[in-house]
Amino acid sequence: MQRRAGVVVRVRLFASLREAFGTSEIDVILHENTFEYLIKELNKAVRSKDQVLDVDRLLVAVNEEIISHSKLRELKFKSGDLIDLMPLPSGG
Amino acid sequence: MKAKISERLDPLVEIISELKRSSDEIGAILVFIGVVRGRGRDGSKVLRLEYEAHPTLANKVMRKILEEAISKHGLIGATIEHRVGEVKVGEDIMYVVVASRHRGEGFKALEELVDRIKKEVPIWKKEVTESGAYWVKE
Repeated sequence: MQRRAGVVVRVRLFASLREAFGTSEIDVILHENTFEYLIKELNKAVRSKDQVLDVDRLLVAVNEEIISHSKLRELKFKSGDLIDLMPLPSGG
Repeated sequence: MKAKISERLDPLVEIISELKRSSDEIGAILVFIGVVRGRGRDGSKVLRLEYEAHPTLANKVMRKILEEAISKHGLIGATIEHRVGEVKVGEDIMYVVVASRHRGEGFKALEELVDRIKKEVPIWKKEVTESGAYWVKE
């Protein structure tokens, strides 16, 4: 896997995820610029086991474009990317 | 075509009138109204629902769903309105209004639109009941 130092991304968290992390925004330094690494880093910060991020139950957007689950593994982040992590919708 | 996410819904009669005025080809207008139920999934008494929407993506996804439905079903027009913030029991949460030449395509489009809004638009609800508050997971 490609290793890059100092890729800083901003993660925004919504609804239940914001409450689980206790914040709506986190800047994360990624040593590997992949989605898998980002989730691994974020899961180090969760406060209890039942709050661990389950990728299958996330809606993800990068720079305000929704990314389908099949494309998440292909993501390569760059510094300044805005990543929205959202629970699956429950509107209506 | 109109997609709106706001603390208040426009009066339904105005939404319908606006659609009617847009074309004299309209032969059917179908309306879905989502309402807050008084009982939660676990049977407890609901006090209110609290809705949160992504500030930009919710509207963007809603518009995309509307455009696709209009094109796929040959609709003349359609409107979606969804509330955010606190919504009390018995109050309206969402209007989906579809205008078509004939009822057949209107019924199909309405059901598809409601399903897609619930599954795809980044809006989340918290159910506040007598026994506690929790985010609803679909």
